[in-house]
Amino acid sequence: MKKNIIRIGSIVLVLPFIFQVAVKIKNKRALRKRVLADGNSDYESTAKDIANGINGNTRKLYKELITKIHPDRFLDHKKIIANELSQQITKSKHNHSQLVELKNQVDKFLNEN
Amino acid sequence: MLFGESHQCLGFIFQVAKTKIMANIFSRIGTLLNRVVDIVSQGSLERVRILREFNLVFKEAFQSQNIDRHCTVTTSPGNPSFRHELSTMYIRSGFKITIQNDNNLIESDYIEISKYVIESAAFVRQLMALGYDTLIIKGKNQYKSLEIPLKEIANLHKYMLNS
Repeated sequence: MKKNIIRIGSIVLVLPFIFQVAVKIKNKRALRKRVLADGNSDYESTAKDIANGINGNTRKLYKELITKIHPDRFLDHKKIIANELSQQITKSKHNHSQLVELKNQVDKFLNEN
Repeated sequence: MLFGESHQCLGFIFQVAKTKIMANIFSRIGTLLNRVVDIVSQGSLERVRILREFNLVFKEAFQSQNIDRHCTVTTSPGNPSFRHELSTMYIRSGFKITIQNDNNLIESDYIEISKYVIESAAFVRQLMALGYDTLIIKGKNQYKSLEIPLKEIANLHKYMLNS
């Protein structure tokens, strides 16, 4: 009888603990799922961006673009566009794929002149 | 006498080759065990996939001479003080980028490399969701390494408020 009481008591004491841990794990999994669903699962392009950065390609491209689009080289409304583009280029300084996209915009802008 | 010297030399080469093969076998077993633990602890292959894709891209870039530094990505022990809501156990919470040919690598190079990783907050959040809490940049033959707490780059508050 005494043993049974001890058994039941210990189960009653341990159960809330197990329940708490289970809820914690469930919440963690749900949070992980939400974060992963929101992100881009194309790790290959991220890895390529990083590889380009390590190699110095990103830095070269940034310097090339920022020199081409320097606002002092333009007048009037073109200066405003050049200013916007140079701000975007500075913002994407370490992101190779974004810089490649911006290069197209810069080329298009320069061809219009 | 000459035969004896060449015999000794051959023996030494044999020993070095044997040690390298053994190290290679141990590293492969370690990688396999890591993958098994990842699958069991996370319930998905996402951590395995991220490491495999990064290593593949770095290897291809190095072999095609696009980059002059050969980098490898592994899971390693993180820093317990960098823990966040989704951190896994600390011995598996480090996202480590090792530069294999680390000659002439100075501290500013580590910082420069880390900038390209932490540039994308979305990617950092994904790393955090996969249980990583520390970004480690290390040269293979150097004792020094750079450790960055991922929770300072991006946070998960937005996702927690949505729950």
